[in-house]
Amino acid sequence: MKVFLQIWRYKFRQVKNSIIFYRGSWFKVWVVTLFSLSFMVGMYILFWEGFNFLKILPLISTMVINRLLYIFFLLIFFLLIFSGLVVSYSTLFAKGELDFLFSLPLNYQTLFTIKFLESAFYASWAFLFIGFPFITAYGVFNRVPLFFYFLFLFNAVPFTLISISAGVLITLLLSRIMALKRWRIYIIGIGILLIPIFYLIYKFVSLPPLSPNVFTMVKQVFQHFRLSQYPYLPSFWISKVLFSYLQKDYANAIRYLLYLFGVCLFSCAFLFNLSKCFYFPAFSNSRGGVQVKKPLKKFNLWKVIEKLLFFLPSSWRGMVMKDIKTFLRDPRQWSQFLIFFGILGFYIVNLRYYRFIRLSMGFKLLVSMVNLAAMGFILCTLTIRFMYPQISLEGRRIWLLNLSKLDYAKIVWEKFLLTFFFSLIVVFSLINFTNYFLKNPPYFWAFSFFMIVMISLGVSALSVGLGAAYPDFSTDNPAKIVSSFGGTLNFVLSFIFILFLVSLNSIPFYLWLIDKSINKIKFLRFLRLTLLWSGAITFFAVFFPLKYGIKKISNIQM
Amino acid sequence: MIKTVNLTKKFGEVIAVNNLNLEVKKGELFVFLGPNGAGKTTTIKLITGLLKPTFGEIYIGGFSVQKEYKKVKSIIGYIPDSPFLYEKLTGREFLEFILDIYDMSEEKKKIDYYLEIFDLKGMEDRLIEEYSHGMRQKLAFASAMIHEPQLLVIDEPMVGLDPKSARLIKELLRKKTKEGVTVFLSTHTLPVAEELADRIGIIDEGRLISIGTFEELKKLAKVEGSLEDVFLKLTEENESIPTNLEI
Repeated sequence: MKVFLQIWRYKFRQVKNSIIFYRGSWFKVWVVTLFSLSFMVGMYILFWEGFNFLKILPLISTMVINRLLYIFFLLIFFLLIFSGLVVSYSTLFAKGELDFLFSLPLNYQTLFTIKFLESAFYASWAFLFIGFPFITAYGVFNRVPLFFYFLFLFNAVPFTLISISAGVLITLLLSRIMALKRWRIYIIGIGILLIPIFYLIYKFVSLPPLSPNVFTMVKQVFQHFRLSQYPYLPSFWISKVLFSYLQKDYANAIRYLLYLFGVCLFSCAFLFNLSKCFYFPAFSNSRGGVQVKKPLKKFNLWKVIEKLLFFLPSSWRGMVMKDIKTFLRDPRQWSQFLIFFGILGFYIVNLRYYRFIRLSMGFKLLVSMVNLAAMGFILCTLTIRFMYPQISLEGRRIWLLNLSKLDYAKIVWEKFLLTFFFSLIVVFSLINFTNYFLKNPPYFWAFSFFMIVMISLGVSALSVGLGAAYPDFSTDNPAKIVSSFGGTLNFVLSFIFILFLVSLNSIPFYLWLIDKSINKIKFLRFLRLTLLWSGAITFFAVFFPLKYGIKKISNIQM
Repeated sequence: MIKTVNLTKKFGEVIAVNNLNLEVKKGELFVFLGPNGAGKTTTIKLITGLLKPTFGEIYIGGFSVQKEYKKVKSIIGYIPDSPFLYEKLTGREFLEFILDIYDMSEEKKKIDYYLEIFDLKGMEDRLIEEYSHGMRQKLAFASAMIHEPQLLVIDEPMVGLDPKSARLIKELLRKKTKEGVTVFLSTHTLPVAEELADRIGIIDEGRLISIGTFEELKKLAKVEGSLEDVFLKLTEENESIPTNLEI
């Protein structure tokens, strides 16, 4: 226990030192704080408006809102299991610190407990960011007493620990039994996450024809999500504690509270005991050493791609091939890409099941616009995550590239064009599916294509340009590179760029189809004008970051 | 001080350490040599308890590494080739942390002693993230020695050190061995090995192919010359240097 507390003391000392000796960008700190707060406020407004909207269901609105609470906690439960799984692999088996700590005379269980708590801390951020606004909106809407919020926070701790324990248990067992490498953990993690997500999406899209009677319809919908009412799930218990308290059924509230704390203690004690025999062997397995892998086959696809790039000069072709191979051979890179766009693709493919979308043209185009913005934001997240660090990741090797026929301008342009090309392929397919399933008119097909070209150009240039302008050659960790001043600036500018582009072009659609204040001829004139503006803004978003990036990287002293 | 019995470590199909039987005496400076990928670092990780052996046993100071790992680790000081240091602690705080972990909080005066001899005075209250590579290496040495271990396990000690610091390390290691501390050192810097070693072990493809003093190895290799010549001769069966270097 003494050693346990000592290690935490030094962990807190590091946090304190990070603040006292902070020499990074305060702009970044302010932007991140502002965005986090705005996000939470935005989520709060969204939930509150949602609850308010449900008032249109007379008599049953309270029941519907309460059922949403069960579904909310169920989703959080799955989210925490997944986060626990992925985060715990990094914290329980991370290189560097763990090798150091294992060389010290520390009990394996003490080490495990420290790392388990760290995993729980890192994995529960999303719960904080979504859970807090949801519960506040729920509380304000229902005018609950202040104690309700304390009760939520008090119960959120065992609920989080139970969910994270499940994720950590999976990691521990897999690492111990199968000597898994990190990418396998990712794939299994993705699989585990995708099962409930696809289950829930399937539940949404496989709704039977809904009854015109609103009561029967609500009953049908909730019947479909009865898993959230399963009495052996912690998500059910935490919901029950809160409801029982509000209904002044204190005996029941205490009963479910004891379930939560009891199971939490059991799961933590179980993991603690398991770690005695499992943690070190699992750690040892994770240090797989030099696994002999079969030599990579001379993959014909590379030759095909190389031939397809015949029009490029050989130095450009070499650079492009290197970037493609690096990306595809690192599952951490494409797996996240696959998750985001896989889920989005699944959603889009299932749009055809939503009969209500076809009710009005205005609503249909609204959904299309939201999809466009969602694709833009996901694309922007991915270009920041993967493309912004590219120049920095070339690291000190960049002089090698610079000594070749490629000067810095060409390196930056190559990365920009490659990012743009791949971004366009992905969003182009998704947007065409959206248009196809929503049976959008041809002019909207043309409009959305124009938009995705603009968005892809803008976000690619911002990521590559700012990545070149603010390189960080001191680390190979992309997450650290992204969290720098340049990464934050990239995020802010890309976010504003997409928001501005989509909002600007939504105006003519809104005025024509929803507000009905302009006719089709005026709409087309107005749209032409907004598109012209979008083109101009995109030109600036491409030209200036790339120019600035090339200028800065060309003057860099290695 | 160190005893390995039929020590074997497999990674899948690959045998990184193959049936290693080794004994290193108290106060001995043992140098472990081998080509890249021979199994040196794996052996070191097994000895320091960072890897679980597939077969065999390791004893440090009479304690089994697998069964009494806490006792073993409390008498070892380990310096890996790229040591881990908490970037957001100062040099002094890091050494305090080490003393706390080894339950030696009362002996804080040792911190100043080690800061002095490793020429880190003046930098001790700065964050480690500001240290140069050499300073980090010296801090790692200080942290490995400050709890007065009976065994020092060092992987590539001279990486990143300037000549003055390298000399200091060599003298410190000699001093420590005179005080009865055992040193297990792995290196590719053969002149250092030649200068310091009491005995040398050469490992290749996971097997200990030869062991003895420098003189004994010279006799075994039937070579008169430097340790480099002896090393190349003893490992030549497995690795031959290409003579035709033309493209």
